[in-house]
Amino acid sequence: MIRRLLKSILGENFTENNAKLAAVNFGIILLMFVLSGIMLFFLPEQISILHSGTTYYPVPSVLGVWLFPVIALIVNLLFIWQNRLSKMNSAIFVILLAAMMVSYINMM
Amino acid sequence: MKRILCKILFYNKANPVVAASLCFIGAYIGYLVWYILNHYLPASAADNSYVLVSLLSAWFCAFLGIYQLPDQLCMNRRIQTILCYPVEVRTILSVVGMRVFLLQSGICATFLYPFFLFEAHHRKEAALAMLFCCILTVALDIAVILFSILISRFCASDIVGYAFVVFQYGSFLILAWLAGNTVFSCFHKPGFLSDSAGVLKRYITGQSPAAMQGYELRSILWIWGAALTGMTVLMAVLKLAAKHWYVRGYLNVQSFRHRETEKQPSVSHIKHPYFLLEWKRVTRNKELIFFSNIKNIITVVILSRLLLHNFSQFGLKGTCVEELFLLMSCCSVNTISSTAYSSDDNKSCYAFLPIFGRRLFLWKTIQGFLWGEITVLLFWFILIGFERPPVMNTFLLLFYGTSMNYVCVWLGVCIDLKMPRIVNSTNELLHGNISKVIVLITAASLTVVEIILVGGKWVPIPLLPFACLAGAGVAAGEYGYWKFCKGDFYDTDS
Amino acid sequence: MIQIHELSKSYGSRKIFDRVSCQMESGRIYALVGMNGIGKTTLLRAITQPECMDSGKVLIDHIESSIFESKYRLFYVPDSKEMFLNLTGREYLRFIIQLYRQKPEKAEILQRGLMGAFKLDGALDAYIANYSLGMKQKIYMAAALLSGAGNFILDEPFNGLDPESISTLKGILAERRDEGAMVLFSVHNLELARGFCDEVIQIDGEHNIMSAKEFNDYRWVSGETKATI
Repeated sequence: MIRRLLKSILGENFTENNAKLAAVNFGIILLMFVLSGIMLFFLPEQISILHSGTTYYPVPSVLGVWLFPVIALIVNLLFIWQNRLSKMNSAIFVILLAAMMVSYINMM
Repeated sequence: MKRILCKILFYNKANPVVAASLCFIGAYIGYLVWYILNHYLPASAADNSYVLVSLLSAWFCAFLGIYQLPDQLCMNRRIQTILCYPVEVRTILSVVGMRVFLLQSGICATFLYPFFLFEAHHRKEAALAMLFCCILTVALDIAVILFSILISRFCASDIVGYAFVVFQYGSFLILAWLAGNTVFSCFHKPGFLSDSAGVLKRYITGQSPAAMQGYELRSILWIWGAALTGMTVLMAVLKLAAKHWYVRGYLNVQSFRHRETEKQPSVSHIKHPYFLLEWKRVTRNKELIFFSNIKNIITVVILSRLLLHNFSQFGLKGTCVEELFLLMSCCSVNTISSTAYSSDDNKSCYAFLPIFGRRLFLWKTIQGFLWGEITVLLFWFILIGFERPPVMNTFLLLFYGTSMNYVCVWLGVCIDLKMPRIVNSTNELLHGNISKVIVLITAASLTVVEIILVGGKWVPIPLLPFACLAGAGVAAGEYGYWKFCKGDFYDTDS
Repeated sequence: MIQIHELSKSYGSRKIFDRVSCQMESGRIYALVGMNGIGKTTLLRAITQPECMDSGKVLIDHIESSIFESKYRLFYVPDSKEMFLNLTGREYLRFIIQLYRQKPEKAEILQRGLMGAFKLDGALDAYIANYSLGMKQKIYMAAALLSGAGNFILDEPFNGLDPESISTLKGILAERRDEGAMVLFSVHNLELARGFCDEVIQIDGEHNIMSAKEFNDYRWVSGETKATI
C-alpha cells in the first residue's frame, strides 16, 4: 500500500530509487511530528518561535511545536514537485531534525 | 478530457496524501498567522487584522498568478504537442486558469478561515473579504493572461523572452513595494487598518445600509457596477485575444530560445573544451544572464533596505554589518551556479563522453565565480564610492566578497549536482529555485553566527577581519573537499 | 572489441536482461534488431554507461567500462538528436577532437574530408539548434568518426538521412571496419542492414541475445541459435 501511495505521489517520476528516498524523507518528517508531540510534555507553556534582536515572540507550545515539522513537510513536497529527490534531501531533513531537537532542549 | 489535458500539461495527478498534507499545512499556517496577529499587532489594529490578512492573501494570489500564468500558458513546451490536436484555445486557457485559481482560492481560504471560525463578530466581514479577494484575484488573473497574450503576440521573437522577464519581475517589484508599505503602515500608522476596514464596510460590504445616505448607496452601486462591467469587458477582450493571437504568440515565444538568425554567430576562440561548454551554457541562455545580474542587483538592494535595519538592534553599528550582509546577499543569489547542472541541456551526454566529473565541477564553479565577481566588484565600487570606509576595510570588504562568492558558488553548484532539477523551460527553472534559497539561508546563517560570536565577545577580533577569516576558511574547506573527496563527483578513476 | 558478461537489468519488477553474455569483435559491423521496447537501447546504454546495469561487466578493448579510460575507446550516438544545441557545428567538432585528444592537424584534414562527403561545409558555423534532423545526424556521425574511437555504438544512425547520405555513411563505416573498428548499430528497417552488416544481433521475446553470422541466415537463426557469439 505504501508503494502504491508513493507511486501516486511521485507520478511519472516514480523509480525504485525515488520511492526509497521519498519513503525515507516522509519517515524522517513523521519522526519529527512524533518527537514534537513527545516534547510537548517537557516544554514550557509558551515557547518563542521568532525573535528579532532582543524582542521575542512567544506562542503556546501546543501551537509552536509543529512549526519545524510543517516546514520540513513543505520542503519535502517542494522537492517532490521539482523532481529533486536525492540523498542530500534526507541529509537536509536530518539537519532540520537535529536543529529542532537542539532548540527544544534549549527551551526546556 | 480536461483532466487528461491537465495531466499532459502539468504531469501531475491528484493524490490524497498530498491533498491531506496541503490541508494540514494550510490549516496550521492560517491559525498561526491569526494567533500572531491577534497577539502582537497594536491593540487598535488587532481588531481589524482581517483586513491586513485579506490584503496579504490577495498579494500572495497576485504573486502566484504573475509567475504561474505566463509560465504555464506561454512557456510550457508541452502545449506545442497538443496544438496539433483539435483542442480549442479556450480549453487550454480554462485548464491552466482553473488550476491557478484553485491554488489561489486555497491561499485565500488558508488565511481567512480562522476569522470565520474563531471570531464570531467578524464572520460576515471575513466571508465578504474572502469573496472580495477571490473577485480581485480573478480580475488580476484575467489581466495577467491578457498581458501575456499581448506580449507574446506583439513582441519580436528575439526580445519576447526578455519582455516576459521584465513584465514578471516588474510586477513582482510593484507587489513587493505594496506589501512592504502595507505591513509598515499596519505597525506604524495606528489608524490604517481601522480606516481600511471602514472603507471596506462602507463601500464594499455595504454594512448597515439603513444608516447610509443616498449618495453612499449610489457609490456602492457604482463601485460594484464598475467592477462587474470591468470584469465583463476584460473577459470579452480576453476571449477575442485568445482566439486570434494566442497560438501565434505561443509559437513566437517558443522560437525565442533557439531562434533562427540570419547572421552567422561569431567564431569562438575558446580553446579549452570545458570552458567552452560552460561559456556557451551561459552566454547562449540570455534569460540566465539577465536573472543572474540585473535582477539580482535590484533584489539585493530591495532586500538590504527591508532587512538591514533589523540588525541595528545587535549593537554593532559601525562594524560593517550592513556591508557584510549586502555582499553576502549578492553572492548567494547567483543563479548561474545554483542552476549549473539543471540549466545544462547536455548533461545527459556526459555519462558516455570522456568528460571528467571533477573537472566539469571545477569549470562550473569558475564560470559561476566569474559572473558572481562582476556583481561583487560592482557593489564594492558602490560601497567605497558612497561610504568611503577606511583603506584597510576597503580591501577586507573586497576579500570578504570574493571569498563569499567562492563559498556560495561552490555550494550552489554542489547542491545542483546532488539534486538537479528537470524542467521544460528556463523560466520554470529560474522561478522557485530551491537551491538558491538553500545557499541564501546557509550564507545568512554563517554571517549571523559571525555577528553573534563577535557581538558576544566570543571572538577577540573585530567583525570584518573575523568574517574574512571565516569566509576564507570555509572556501578552503570546500576546495579541499573537491580536491580530496573524488568519489563524490562521479568519476571512477580520475 | 566489446565483451558483455552476465549483464542483468530490470525496470522495477520487469526484467529486461537476465545474466546475458556476448562478444563483439573488432573489424566487424553488427546490426542490432528486435521489436519495439524489447531492450535495444537499454543494451546500448548498458555498454556505454555502466551505471545503467544492475549487475554484470562490460569490457571495451579489454578495459572495464567502469574505468574512465574505456570512454576514449568508444563513441556513442544516442537516438536523441538534441545534444550540444548551444554550440555551432565547428565548435562541437573541435570540442570532440580536444576531448578525445586527437591531433589537431590530422583531425583538421579528416574533418574537411568528412564535411565534404556529408555536404556540411556551409553549415559548420551555424548553431546545431538550427540544423535539420538529417544535418544533426550527420554532425554527430562526423564527430564519432573524428573521435578516433575504435568502437562505434550508434542508435538508429540512418534516421533522417537521405539515400545519398545513407550510402556515404555506409561507405565510411565500412572503411573504418576495414581499418579494424567495431560498429554496432540498432536498426528497424532490415533492408538498411542488408549487404552492409557482417552479423545480425537479435533480442528475442524472452530478452535473449542471439546472432546470425550472415545476414541471409537471420530468418532461421532466431528460433535455434542462442547467445553463441
